Amino acid sequence: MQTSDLINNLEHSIIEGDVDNAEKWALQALDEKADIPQAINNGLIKGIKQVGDAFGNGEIFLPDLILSSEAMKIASDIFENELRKTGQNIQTSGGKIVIGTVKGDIHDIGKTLVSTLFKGAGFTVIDLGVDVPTDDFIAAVRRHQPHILGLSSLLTTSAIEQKNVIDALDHAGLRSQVKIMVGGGAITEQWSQEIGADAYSGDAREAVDCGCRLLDSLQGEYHA
Amino acid sequence: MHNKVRFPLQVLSDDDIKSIYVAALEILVDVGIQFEDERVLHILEERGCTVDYPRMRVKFIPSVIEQALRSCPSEFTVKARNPEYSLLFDGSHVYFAAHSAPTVCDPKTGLSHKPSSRDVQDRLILIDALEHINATLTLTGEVSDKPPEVGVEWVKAETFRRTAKVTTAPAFRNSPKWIIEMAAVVGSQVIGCCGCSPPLFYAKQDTDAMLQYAAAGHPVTAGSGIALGGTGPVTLAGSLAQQTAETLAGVALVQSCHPGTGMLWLTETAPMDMRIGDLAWGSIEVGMLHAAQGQMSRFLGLQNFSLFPMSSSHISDQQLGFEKGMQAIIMALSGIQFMAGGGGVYNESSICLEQLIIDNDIYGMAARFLEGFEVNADTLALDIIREIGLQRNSYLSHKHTRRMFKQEHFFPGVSNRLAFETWEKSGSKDIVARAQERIPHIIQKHESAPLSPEAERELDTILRAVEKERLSGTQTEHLTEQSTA
Repeated sequence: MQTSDLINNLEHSIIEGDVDNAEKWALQALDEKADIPQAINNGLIKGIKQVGDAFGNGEIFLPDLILSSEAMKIASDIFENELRKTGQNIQTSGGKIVIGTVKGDIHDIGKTLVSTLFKGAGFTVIDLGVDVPTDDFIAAVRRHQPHILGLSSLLTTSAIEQKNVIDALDHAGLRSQVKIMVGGGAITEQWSQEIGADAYSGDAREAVDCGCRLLDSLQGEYHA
Repeated sequence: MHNKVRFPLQVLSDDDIKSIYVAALEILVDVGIQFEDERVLHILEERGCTVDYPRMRVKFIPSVIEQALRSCPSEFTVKARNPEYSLLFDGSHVYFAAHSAPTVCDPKTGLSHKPSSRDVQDRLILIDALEHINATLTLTGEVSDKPPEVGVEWVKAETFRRTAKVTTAPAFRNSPKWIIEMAAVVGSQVIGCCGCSPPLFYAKQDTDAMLQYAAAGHPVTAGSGIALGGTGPVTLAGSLAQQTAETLAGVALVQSCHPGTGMLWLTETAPMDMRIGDLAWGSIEVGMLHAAQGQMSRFLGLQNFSLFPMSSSHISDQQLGFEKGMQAIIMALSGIQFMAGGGGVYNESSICLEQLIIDNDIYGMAARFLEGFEVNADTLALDIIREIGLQRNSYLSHKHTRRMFKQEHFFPGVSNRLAFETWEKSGSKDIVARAQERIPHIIQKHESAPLSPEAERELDTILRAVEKERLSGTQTEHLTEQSTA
């Protein structure tokens, strides 16, 4: 099969949210020794961006988006393993975000939705899951050096943990290295300002727009 | 409110009800429920359930569920500080309650802020004063001018001080033990608001609270808030099966430890809007699920409890009005016994005092419907019709009209029924503006029945103990400075 056809098939499997085909075409790309960075950028990322846009425009629905994200994950894992074997680095043009739901809160959906949309926008996403202790956030910031740290809290009782993470980052001397975004049912703009976060978003789409703006401002800072 | 609707809404056939119950039992038996607290695992193992300790999973046996359902009382009373406000859960009463949320918002802009202690107090005075509000939720407790660590207890103490109506009590942190002490001081019961975090998971916080409230003789809720397509099946039937299983697991735990505890099936379930991923709390499916929940709870012999009617709108607009109004009437007709959406906006994220005033009218109208109307010689008014015959305009001056109109017709507090010119001359105000005007009027005029000085002192003592526990002696001045205002 021609490389361009393979890449088209990969792109379509992402757009269709077809997990089985995404896996099949990714494995075939390896068999045929296709150019992997090209397959990632022109197949997977191009596909997921289209999906993200279609979701943003209300043309597709959440289950479509999530299945596309699953298809994306299975294909990118295959490619990433291969690149690792050959000692190559994965080149991503976007930003990096570490995200999680704070300690004392096991709510997953909102945070996962934000993760998925960030992936769709080309970000590398490190999702720490739910009920994440402060120390784990600090360790992840140290290890992954993300542009953005996203802290979710649905419960009012766990909202205070967002402040604890920010204070701990300060204490560890890491606060200036990362932009902090907060969100979740219990969170308001006012709270975000009170605890010294850099940004607050009321929903997943706004979170990604806001993340992109933060990334732009950071890249501006780096250039300056 | 005594519910005189003879045939509650039915969306399920008898076979449907049985299929959902059987599916729920299969979930409990085959999939099981995860409990975070090891103590709970031991309790249920002793009852004969199979426990997988590493996965904290309990696979139930049907006899435990059936036994638990048998030991639930078919009726019970929740005692209020003022006995006149006590609630009787016997399947034939419907109660309306005020919602609670982390923020208070403006009805026209939707902009919200953390409540101040004054906001909390104003809300409680309104609840005590409004005639169709029978009870209030106390779910959250962060107050802008109080330390967040002790907010829940401060709000709870204020609740006991400012309203003699029944209140619910949350499962947060170590709050139950303090709330139980406060309830004993003021001589009332609370409804312990506890539940499952779907899918199929009971956090330790919730099971701790359930058992603590039940041990102290308070009724408790069991149930869940499933996001259809998120934390449970996207289908209404599937979500009902899962929610039935989650509820029955909680009922089994509580009845195993404290048989005879009054239990309410709580629901907070709503579809996820697949266009945005947020919950559609104002959706018509919520009404359909409540009708089904009403049928399922009657079948199981459980009382029920709901955090609706609710809406996804951020402001007191037409959407909020029609979503909450439709749900309220559907729920009332479905035999939902406790509906706690009063004042809530935007998927329970915020409270709006103006909306509480408007919801009081919605509740009043639903209550009027439930009250029904009598058919007897006096109400058929045949004598009057004979007497007046074909004379025009004579009914208004008849004594029968004056004697009967108040019992027959409901008078909303803030709905507009004025002629156009009169309405225009009075400032062309919409319902929100009229509700806004009513608030200071009620707050200035209403006098909540005070607690005895001894009870006030004991509440202060409890708050000081909470502070000591949580704040290690710091910031003590915040909590007790204004027990009366």
